[in-house]
Amino acid sequence: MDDNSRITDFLKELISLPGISGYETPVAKAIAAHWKDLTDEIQITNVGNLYGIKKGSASKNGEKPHKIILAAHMDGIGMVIDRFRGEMLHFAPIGGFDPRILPGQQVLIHSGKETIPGVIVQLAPHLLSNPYKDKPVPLHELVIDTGLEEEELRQRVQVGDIVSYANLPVELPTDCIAGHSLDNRASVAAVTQTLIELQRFTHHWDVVAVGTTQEETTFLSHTVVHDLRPDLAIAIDVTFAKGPGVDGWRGKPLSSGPSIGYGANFHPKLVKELQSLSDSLGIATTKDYLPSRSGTDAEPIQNACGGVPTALISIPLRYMHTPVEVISMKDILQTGHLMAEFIARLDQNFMNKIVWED
Amino acid sequence: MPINCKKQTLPTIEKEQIDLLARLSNASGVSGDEAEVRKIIREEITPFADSVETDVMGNLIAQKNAKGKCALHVLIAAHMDEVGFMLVDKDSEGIYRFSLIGGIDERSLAGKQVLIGKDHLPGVIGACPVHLSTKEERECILKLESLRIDAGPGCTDLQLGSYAVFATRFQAFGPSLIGKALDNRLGVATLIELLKHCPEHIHLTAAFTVQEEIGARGAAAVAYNHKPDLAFILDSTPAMDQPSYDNAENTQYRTRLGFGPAIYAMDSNTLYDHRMVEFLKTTATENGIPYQIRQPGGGGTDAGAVHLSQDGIPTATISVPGRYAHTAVMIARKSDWENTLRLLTASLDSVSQDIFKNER
Repeated sequence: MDDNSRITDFLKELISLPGISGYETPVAKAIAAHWKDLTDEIQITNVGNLYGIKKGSASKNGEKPHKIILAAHMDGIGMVIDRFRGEMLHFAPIGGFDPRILPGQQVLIHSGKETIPGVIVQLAPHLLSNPYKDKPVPLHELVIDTGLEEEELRQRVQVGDIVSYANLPVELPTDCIAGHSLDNRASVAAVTQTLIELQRFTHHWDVVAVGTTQEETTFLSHTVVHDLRPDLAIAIDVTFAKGPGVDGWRGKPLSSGPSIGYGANFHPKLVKELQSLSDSLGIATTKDYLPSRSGTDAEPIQNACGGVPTALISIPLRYMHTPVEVISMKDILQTGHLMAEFIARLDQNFMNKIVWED
Repeated sequence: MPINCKKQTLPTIEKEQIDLLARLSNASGVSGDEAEVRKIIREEITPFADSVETDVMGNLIAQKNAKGKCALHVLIAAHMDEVGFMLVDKDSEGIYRFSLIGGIDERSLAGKQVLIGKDHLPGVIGACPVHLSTKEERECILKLESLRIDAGPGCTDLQLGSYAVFATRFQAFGPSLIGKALDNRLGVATLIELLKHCPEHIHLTAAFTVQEEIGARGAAAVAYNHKPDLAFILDSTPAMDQPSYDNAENTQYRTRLGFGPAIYAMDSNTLYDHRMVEFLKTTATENGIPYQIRQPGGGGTDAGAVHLSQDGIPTATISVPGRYAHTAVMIARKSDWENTLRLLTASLDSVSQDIFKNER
């Protein structure tokens, strides 16, 4: 199996699983199973962060190793059941999304013992607090209908049960995948590609592939830095792809390659190294200008434990935070490839380059 | 089914019927493009009918001849079309503008997977990322003009004019049937069963009609061409039976799930012949079949065209209630479907000109 179909199949598996912020275990298990053969050690922390530790040649020779982390959040947005209304279930959001995409959306309610299908619906105008004529029905008035009658519903579903999107991935020509939670499972797939390519390289540094949790909600990836004390960090996330709803400077074309983050959130020298490497290797990239805060794991990681030189590589994605996000496999593979090439070149003197020009 | 069938022999909905409903629900059949549904129906009914033909409009007409002479000629019609989309313009590679066919609430479009054309090519209807919209923008509807079907940047083989449907796959869950186009594949599946077990004392014209969702256009041709003595229309009607936001009594439910087949007294287009309504109610009562009278009001069915055809045709509509019609996902109850099939089966067994011995 070539890398493309291996990563495509893996990504489709990942976006067929629930992994809502704070409840990442189903997807974390699938990632751990895949990373096991690609790393020396797998660890899961108290807050659910997943580490795939791949030791470099320095470590193996008993030298004090440098360490780089590749951080991709595993969690996705979802909902939680918050009250009953007859046969209907009200829900609250986990993470940020536009309620206008919800009516007609099929979901899964994870009740602990079992998974119950449901559909998010807007009720008839006379059943709402306001008819919402020519207006979107707000989130707090949308409900989930499972098709179960009330008595059975109350036996099988509880307040606090987690809700995920039910739709399965589809492939779109030429090399695109559409589905939910591609933000940020696409980046997990890219990190996995890096690990695959690193099997063929000798690398000096220790590498820790990190699946972080709760990026969409509490931003807790500073705990990763506290644990691992990396010398360098690269966060991998998605960025806005050009398409319906996105034009202008924020959008990167699909299939235009990894997008390298520029702004206060990133160490300019690390960014420069990544940029010049991709230029010299002929890897197409775009520049992702993120003035002030990036809203990614790069932020808590950069600011943790006295500061970590951090970069952000983003993969263009259409329709972010909808269940029909679209991504190009080429961008995922190239992102993974760029990081593998970068890591292969890290030597014991590399940190001498990560200094401010004053 | 024997002519003199009694209530203990009335049919039930089994796995076979649900599997057929699943195939019908998953098939694409937007108004004007019903071929895929028509093909499934034709294969199902051909062994059971004396003749099967597709007429000029695209209606599929099956005849089941009576054994005796001077038999009552009964038309049963169920529309096979569904609401959907047509690709009408190409924006850029793989990105298409689309139009709505039938009454679809724009608010149900964004964030859905669709299937395009005869080959069911996948596509998605995306939406602007929440990160890039303002609070004020999110208080406005995502209008059709701003939405696109995205079939993937490498998609080059799509023709403008292709039809598309929501990509929902059917499932039976608990007491419910969940899928797209249950309006009116439930009626279609019911009519297929009725044709398979048609009593011998009537001449049955089973019409699977086209273009109901854009104005009962198929049914008008059927009634004109076949001149039945009376007609039953099988459809699906909205159930708006959920609790109100303030738990006030919901008195405007139209129909309720679990209360049996919905018999129409009046809708936007038809004042139903009360002799037909009484016949259905009496038949239900005598056979212990639950039923409900659909609260009179808006909406319409193929009856609107049929009852005005020729010199007037006595017509009744019986619907399986369903929630969320004309969206990606409908929910109906298996028990309501079964009781609809039982009511129609019992009605065909006892139907005669006697219904009309009193003046209307």
